Amino acid sequence: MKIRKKDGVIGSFEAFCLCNYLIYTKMFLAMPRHLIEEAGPIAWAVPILVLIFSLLFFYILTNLLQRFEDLSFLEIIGELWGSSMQWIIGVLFAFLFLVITAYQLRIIGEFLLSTLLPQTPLSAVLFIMVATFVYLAYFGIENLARLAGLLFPWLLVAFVVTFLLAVGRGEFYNFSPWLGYGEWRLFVSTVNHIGIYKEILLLAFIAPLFRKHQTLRRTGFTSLIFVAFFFFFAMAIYIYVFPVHTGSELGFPLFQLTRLVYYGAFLQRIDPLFMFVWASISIVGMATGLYVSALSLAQGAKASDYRPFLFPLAVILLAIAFYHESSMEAVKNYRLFPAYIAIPFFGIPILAWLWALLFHRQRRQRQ
Amino acid sequence: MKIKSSSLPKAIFLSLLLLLTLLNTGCWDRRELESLAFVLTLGIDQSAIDNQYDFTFRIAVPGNLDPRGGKGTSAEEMPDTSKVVTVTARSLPEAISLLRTSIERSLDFRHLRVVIFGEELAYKEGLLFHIDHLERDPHFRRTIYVWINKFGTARDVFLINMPVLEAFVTRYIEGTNESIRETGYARPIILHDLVAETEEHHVDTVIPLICINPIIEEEKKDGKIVPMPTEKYRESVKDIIGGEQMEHINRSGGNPLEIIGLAVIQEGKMIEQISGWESRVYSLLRDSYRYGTWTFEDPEVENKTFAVELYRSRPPRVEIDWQKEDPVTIDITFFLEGNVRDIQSLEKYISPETYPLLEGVVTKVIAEQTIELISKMQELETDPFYLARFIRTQMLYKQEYIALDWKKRFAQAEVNVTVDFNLRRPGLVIQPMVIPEQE
Amino acid sequence: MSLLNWKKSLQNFKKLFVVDSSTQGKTFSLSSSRQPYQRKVTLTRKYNPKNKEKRDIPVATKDIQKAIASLFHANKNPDFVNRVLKTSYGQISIFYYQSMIDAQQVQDAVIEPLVSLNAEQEQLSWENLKDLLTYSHVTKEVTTLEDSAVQISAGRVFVHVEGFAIALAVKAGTRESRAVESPKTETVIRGANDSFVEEIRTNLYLLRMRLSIPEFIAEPIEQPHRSQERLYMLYIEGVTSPKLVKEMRRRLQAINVDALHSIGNLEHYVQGRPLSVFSQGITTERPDRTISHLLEGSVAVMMKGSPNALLMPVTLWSQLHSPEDYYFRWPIGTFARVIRLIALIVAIFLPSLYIAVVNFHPEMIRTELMLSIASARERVPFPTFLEILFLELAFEFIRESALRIPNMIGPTIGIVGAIIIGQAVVEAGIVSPIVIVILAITVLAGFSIPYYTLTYSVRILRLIFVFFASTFGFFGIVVGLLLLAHHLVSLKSLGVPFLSPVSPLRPGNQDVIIRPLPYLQELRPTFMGVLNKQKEALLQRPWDVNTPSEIHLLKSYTRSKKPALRKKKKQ
Repeated sequence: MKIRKKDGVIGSFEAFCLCNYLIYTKMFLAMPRHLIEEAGPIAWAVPILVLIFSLLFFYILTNLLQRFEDLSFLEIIGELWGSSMQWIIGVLFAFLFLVITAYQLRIIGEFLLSTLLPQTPLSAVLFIMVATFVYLAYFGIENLARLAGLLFPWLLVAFVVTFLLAVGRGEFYNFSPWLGYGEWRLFVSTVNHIGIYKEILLLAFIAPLFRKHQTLRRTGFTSLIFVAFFFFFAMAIYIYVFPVHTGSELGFPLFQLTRLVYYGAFLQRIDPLFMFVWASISIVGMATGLYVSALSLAQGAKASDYRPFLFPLAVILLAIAFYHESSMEAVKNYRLFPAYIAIPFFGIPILAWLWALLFHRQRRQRQ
Repeated sequence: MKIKSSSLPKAIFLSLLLLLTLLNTGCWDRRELESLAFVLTLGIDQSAIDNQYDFTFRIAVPGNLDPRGGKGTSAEEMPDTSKVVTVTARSLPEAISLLRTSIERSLDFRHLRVVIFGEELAYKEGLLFHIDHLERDPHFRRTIYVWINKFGTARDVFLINMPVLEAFVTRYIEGTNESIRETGYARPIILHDLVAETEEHHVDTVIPLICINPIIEEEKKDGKIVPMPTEKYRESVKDIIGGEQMEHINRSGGNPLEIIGLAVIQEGKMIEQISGWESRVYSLLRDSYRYGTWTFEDPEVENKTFAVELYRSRPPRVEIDWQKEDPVTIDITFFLEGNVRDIQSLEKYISPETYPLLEGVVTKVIAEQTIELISKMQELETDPFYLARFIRTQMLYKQEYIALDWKKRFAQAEVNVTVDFNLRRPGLVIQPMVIPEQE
Repeated sequence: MSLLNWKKSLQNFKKLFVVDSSTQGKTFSLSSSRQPYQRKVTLTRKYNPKNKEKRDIPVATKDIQKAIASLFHANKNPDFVNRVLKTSYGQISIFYYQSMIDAQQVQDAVIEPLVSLNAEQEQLSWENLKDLLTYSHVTKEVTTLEDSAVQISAGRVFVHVEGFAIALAVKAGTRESRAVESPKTETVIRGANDSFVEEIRTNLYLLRMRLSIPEFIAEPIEQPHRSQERLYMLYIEGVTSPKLVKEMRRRLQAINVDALHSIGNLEHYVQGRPLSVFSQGITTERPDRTISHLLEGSVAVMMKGSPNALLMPVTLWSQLHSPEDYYFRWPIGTFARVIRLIALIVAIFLPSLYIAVVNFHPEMIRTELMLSIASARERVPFPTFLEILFLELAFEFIRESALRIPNMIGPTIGIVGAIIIGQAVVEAGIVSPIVIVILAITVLAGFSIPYYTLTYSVRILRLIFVFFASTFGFFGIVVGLLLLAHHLVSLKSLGVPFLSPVSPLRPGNQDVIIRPLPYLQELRPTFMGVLNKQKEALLQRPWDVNTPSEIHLLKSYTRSKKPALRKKKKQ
């Protein structure tokens, strides 16, 4: 699918919000638990360390996009390596985004079942969520981004307030010993979670929709820094409140944090309200995931529209989500494979950039 | 040809899909309030049968509540708003499912406020075997309070509870915990604290003690408390200062239950109980102390006291030179301030020059009590004060902290206590009452 | 669409997977980067007078008498007047509808001058004859029979003079209309108290009285439908975006129906998403509101016979505004708007939140309140959502009946309803008292929304949310909320996003919830694509000591700069 500016222009604020949703979804899953388990009390540093790498990567990515203005990432691939590679890489990214979304869907569904809706069958929850994704993705990135932008300030306020309320239970010494399990384990954890912000690649897929390349660059950098701050913020409060040993055994970590809010008779048990935050962010984030998957397929195949792909992809999404027998299995695999998934996410753009740098000297003129 | 929007059939299809899903789903988790039995408090005791436990539930009966509000004036007019049921089973989930055989509604623990453990269970087996279900089941929240009955079973607590003011047991629990916080005679503990401190290295946790006052227990007849005649009351009081020892408080009338003192829990088992006075010192050390009224002996007049409202002005400073060989020295400094509340001896202590007299007593008594309590804990090789937290912040690596073997080193440590205390305000009068004849 | 027609259904089903490439991304947008979507429209309706073959007007009086009489079924239609006058220069035929014409005026303005003229037929020229009718100002020459039929139907006097193949249509109409009254649905305490009537000229008078500038244009829209010249498009030349005017004109001209009965009927023909529960325009009966929207760059459509104006494009926020907000001091206006926003949220969500809390998450309410709700529910045999539905239905009945009932006994309905619902229903154990409290607040909140169409939309949304909440609790509400927000975000009112300037976000001194100080709001809304952005001069209170002196400098700067800017644009 060839995206052109006339198909709609995406505002920088809306794109910024969309990136935040897409990237932040994983924080509501088991990630805080995994981080604290791996790095101990210094787990808050992991998002920041990964950020440094991601900023570097995004700089390379924007450099690549700048060389081919008005082209999306997959079209650049087509320009560099031919249309068959464009198709292969399009399918690959479609698959990767789909798998990530499917795992997130499954785990979110499991969390929902184990906390708020224990009697409801998993299939009902997943079906209604996928139906919502299809509906949201069907109307395109512009509306999705506007939806993200509309809800963002409210969710942000609710998010910050609920977390600050939980601070009352925390102890400062939970951050010590200051280096946790040591530098090596911090490094290993960083490598394991190197792909935290990999979804920023979304911007490359919709690059032609920005009015100026400068807008894309600014949007990318601000959303990376902003989202990293919120990973850090949530992680810091999580460590602050839960000692390492307790924190590494909690299912649905951030939700447990809000369940601790207890200020007298009136300000307590607000966790269902927190669900507004995480369910909204996750649903919009995963709908974006589905959209990018369909878009990647359409762009790879040079199809005229992404919408016909949505429905079949949603079916595959459900199939992958139902693949695992138990929830722990899904969580375990979701923990393992992002490290591997990060390789194509970072590798292919960097490779393309090097290729463009070495073999594709002539700058493309703006039409 | 009809011109129609192509999104129309899609919109209809999608909405039909949605509607079908909604209709098909039924309503699995929808539970009407009147189909639920809310358990407000839960008691766990050792049973007479081996390897089984008595689980006591207090179930709210909303039907007996007057929806128009207003409380009945006496116990006869007002039907019980809650009922107590006990089931003996091997584990809590088993007890809950067994209880369902006799209760018409499904049990719901989302409004559970407190879990009370019996003394015997806490001493012998410990509490940990019952914690897992409380943590795992989403019905139970980590903000449930945990109490231990000082002498006796949790079941007795359920049977004898007669709140003075509150008709709702939940309000009673919230109110009591507020009182604990304000007097400092115990430290309110929720399930989360219990779990977190049990799982943490080099610290033991505490649980507030609830006890049945035998004087009032005697006064309770037919679900009513009738204060005993004065003659009899004068016979039944003992020669103790309330809160100093583990014994009950001399009291008549009101609720037979009182919360004072703490149980020290090591590896889930109660190893020691500390009194109300000791609990305040514990709170100072653990930095959970905020406020309380303390009564001290007068420095000049015998058998007279003066009272101080004591605040914590800053967190305590603890310096431990843990890197040297045993015994380590622990230097503790408390930063307190207070307001004069009572001078029983009517001496003229209120002036910057004479303040040190009172301040001296306070610092001396608190330091003595602290050292006494710490040495008591050192004998037991337990550190409920979490003094290791001051070492923790000086370390870089978690492995190093785990390898510290703090409890053994704490047991041999030398402890110095300094109290930095200042009197701030005298209250509404400056010097006490003056009697002209004695001038 | 018949569902039984399986081929068609299959095709519709196919559309889920295959997208019609001709419609792809072709919505109308004000954005300069998007071209308007031109689609070839084939009109297949049989009745289309414009396409009919036209016949010339016969010269002889006899012929025209015959032709017109048969065209208007004169023998069956006594309302149709057909007169022949004899003059010195020949026979004159006059045709008109009695009901639409003022007889006195016909006598004075048409018959009198024509009859009194004393001339020979040979000397008489067509120009002379036309100039003779000095009393009537709107005259039109007609050359075909079909056009004459149109003119007579539109209420004109048709004059034919023997010997000419051309005739005159003379305006001599009555203006039977009710007097201007105060508005019924948009009442305000402060502010103007006149409202539109059915007669278009009165309405235009009310508007022009307020905005007397030559750029204010009331353009009649010619459409191929049976009733002619009934729609007027109002805009301000030099302010309203020409793209917008063009699009609105195109949409109006595309209408081809027997008759439009009301502006509310017209809405469906011109709005982008007629399936949506939200109206994407504002139907107002207030001239001052119409003017204020016109000045912000909207287009208004008025119709003969409908006492309303349709304003488009508008935003959801302007549906929450009341003209009164501008007439009061700013804190009052702002406070009222905040209250209305809260009312909107309450009216949509309160019953569903109640269901979610009571049926799914009872831990959210205090134990005592929860138990008292439970004790009130002990006697109620229905599930909570049926209680809510029952009450909702009862409230709807009260509302509907209060509308229909004659004014004399109207107030009693309120009392009867209150007694039924407040007392008897609770005592009968059908609903619990707390549900009544919830529903009463909800209904009150619904009626505090100033735009009544929005109130009705909100009622439907409320029911949808009740279903969502009773299936999935809070999670269902979240899903519903996302769908609703997405729908709102994707709505466009004549190319303008419905939620602008909030989404897409356009920061600045915008008039959304906080009412800006009028003298500081110098620009028109930025999202309307207006040609002239300045609404007022930069310096409004030069006498105020608090006005910093720099602004004086700024003012002179912008003054000198403005012509230069205009020149640049022309180049």
